[in-house]
Amino acid sequence: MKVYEKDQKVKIHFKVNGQDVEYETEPRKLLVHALRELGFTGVHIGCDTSNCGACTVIMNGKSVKSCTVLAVEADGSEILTVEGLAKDGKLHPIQEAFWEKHALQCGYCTPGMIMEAYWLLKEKPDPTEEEIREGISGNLCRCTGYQNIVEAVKLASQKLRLGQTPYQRQ
Amino acid sequence: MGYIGKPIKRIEDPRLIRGRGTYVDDIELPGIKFVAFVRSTKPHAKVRVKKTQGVFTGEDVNPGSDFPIASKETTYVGQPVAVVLANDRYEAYDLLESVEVEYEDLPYVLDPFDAMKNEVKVYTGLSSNIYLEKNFVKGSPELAMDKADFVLEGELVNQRLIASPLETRGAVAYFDGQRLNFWSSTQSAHYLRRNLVNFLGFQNVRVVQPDVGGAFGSKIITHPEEYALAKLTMKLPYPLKWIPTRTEEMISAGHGRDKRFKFKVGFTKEGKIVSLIGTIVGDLGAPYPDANDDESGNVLSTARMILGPYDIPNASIIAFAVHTNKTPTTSYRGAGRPEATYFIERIVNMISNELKLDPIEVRLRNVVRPNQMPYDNGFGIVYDSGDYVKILEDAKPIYEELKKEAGENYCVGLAMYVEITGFGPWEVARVLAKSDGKIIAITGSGPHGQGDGTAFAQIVADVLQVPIEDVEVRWGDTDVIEDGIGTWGSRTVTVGGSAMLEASKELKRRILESAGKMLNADVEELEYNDGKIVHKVTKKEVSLVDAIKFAYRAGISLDVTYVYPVSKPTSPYGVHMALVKVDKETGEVKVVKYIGIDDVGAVINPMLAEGQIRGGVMQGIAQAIYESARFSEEGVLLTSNLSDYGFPTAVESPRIEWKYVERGFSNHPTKSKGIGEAGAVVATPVIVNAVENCVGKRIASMPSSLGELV
Repeated sequence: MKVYEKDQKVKIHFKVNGQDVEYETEPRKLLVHALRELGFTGVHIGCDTSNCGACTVIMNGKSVKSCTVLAVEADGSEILTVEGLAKDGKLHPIQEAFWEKHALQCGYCTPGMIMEAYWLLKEKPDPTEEEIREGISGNLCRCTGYQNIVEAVKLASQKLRLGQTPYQRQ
Repeated sequence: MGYIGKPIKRIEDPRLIRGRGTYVDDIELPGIKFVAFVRSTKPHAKVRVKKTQGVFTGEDVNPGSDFPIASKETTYVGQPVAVVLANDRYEAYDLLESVEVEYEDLPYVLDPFDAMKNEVKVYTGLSSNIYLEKNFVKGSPELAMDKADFVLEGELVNQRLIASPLETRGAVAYFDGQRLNFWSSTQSAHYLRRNLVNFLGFQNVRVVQPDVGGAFGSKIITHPEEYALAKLTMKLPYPLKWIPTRTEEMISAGHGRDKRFKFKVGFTKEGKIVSLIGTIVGDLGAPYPDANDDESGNVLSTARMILGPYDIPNASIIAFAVHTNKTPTTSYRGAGRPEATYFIERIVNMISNELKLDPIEVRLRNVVRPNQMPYDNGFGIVYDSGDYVKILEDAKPIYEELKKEAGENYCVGLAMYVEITGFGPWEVARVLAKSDGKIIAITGSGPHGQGDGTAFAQIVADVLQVPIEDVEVRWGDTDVIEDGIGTWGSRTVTVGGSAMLEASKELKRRILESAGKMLNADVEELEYNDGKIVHKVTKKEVSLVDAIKFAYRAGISLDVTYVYPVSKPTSPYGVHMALVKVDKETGEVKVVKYIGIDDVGAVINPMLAEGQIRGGVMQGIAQAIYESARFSEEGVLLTSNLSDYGFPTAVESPRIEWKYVERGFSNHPTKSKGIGEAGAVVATPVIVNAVENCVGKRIASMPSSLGELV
């Protein structure tokens, strides 16, 4: 068992969007701050009580609120953020659908919302409207009233099922 | 080409869907320090802060004053009383814990009616808690009230809300020895610059508004923390960053609405309103000048718009704006007009129920007729154009359909509104062509989600007849345009867009002038067609790019700044309806279906306009059934996080259908009216009217609580 003192820095290794990353951190640092410091500033902070989901990333295949994970807990994990979705400049179908359906305004919830949609569509490739709404209920949006987001997730689900772009492997 | 009126996809999106936006917390500078604020835990107290290393007080920011930072006396829980500086946010919040603050309690007052008695002063420096009192009278209200067939009396509460944009406020400040550079999550770089210049007494200030994660009115004013950051960075040799936590944000910013209306309304047995007499009391919270100035104007908007779209011949309204020991209130989406619409639409609903008269019929008997346009409502507002009768007739079959759909425990509600949008005093646009032909359009407004950048690109592309992709739109930097007002009051597409339209026309004229020189022709002999310039007789033509290139050689500047002055706001209007389900066992209210019809003049981009309606309507619904900023008897906000406050998720939000008609155009070059706030203005009474119709009890306050309904 490794024991670290309060002020001692810990070296962790994880994969972000397919790239190996080494990061030195205090044990108390939140994953959301670590990711942002590493340059993944699309990961946003919207609250301090784990309600808003603006910090949502995929960690080992699951959608998690990165404000509620310590960076040290992410040691050895694989993380996908919104920056890792587009491939060779081509947008992921979820990103395309958000653009087509006007599913964002200020754009602040958008990265977390897109990652939650990514996870949801992997779990349920053909969700009903109710399942979509339930599926993104951990992600708050103040601008859109959600309807266009629901439409975008529906469109993305069609695009993905038509196999326009395969999910990238994690 | 022909972009105006089409649902063009947003030019703002490609960066934001990739996580490539730059919001203020994404900005880093070498050696930057993190700033956090110690906040008052008392609603009213003498305060003394022990100064230690890395701790600054009100005396460092505003010596001898308690605003923006309290030096000696604090007047609300959440008011900044000290500032700490550290290497990062973790250390800053460690340091906060160690700051010693001594409080000496003073008597406080939380209820505005109590505050009006002036028995307890909110701040010892105040001569009265009443900040503003204004009387509006038209006709002979008392006389008409006496003659009315029926008189209804009551009190309505439009509760305090919190704007809660998903991104909080935040700022980065850096004084380089000559100039203050200031990045802020604000609604206007230019307005913030003017405020900082005024506060600092120093004009070399550049302000940048980066990407902003929403505001809804909460980022119009300059906040205490922004002034403090600016002042401190002028004294210190490093850049400073301030980003509050959500809890801090909720206790200290974005509070809005919070108005009450005591009324007496007289009407005939046919449902014609003959007199309205009432008192509006708006709670300003503590005396922070920037906020009070903002919100007291909103109290007046409530009073001026209280007659709604109705031709009410006699009315008398007294409006009070009153201090209490609570967070200072500011604009929140609608800024005074939602309260007005709520009050009058609730009253009209009561009349409708009282007389058992169809809600559309009651409204048809009262609305301003088309031949009365433009209509002076007698309280200082002119409704410029539109047909209120026709839009009610449009609504009728939809309303009947909704009633048919309503089974047991389902109820239908309706509300109408008229709005004031497109405020002055002016806005600026700069449109320029680079020597390689690139078109750049810069606005003095400050979009922060509304998508006006796309609407501006549509306007510029149409005037210059170029593909929209060729137009780059920028804003939010006081260095790149002469000046600006900002984005609020649903003014940006209309006022900012009119400036953009006129600037583009002048640029086009200059490009023609250049082509004329190339072709040895007078401008009158030339035709501007599809991005080319053609000589009408010789048919010789010049491409737009060549004309632009030549202009530089000919000494013609292709950099046009246009200042568009505005004298009067313009008034959109509409009718919205909803089907609502009320569970009589649990009291749960759920909006099942929502339909709105609006006339906002010329619609520049229907997809974006619809997006504004859906977002606004959802905020209006949230006020009706979910959200409320509640305080304990100790003056502490009880709803200081996103789980307690009732911020709705996708599960609570209904499908919102939107239709628009284009009948009443504005007099602006764009012919448009504002839509940014309309949804939030009208949706709240739609829902409460529906619930009231269903439960058969008069509803006095919101959110419609479980206890009240069961």
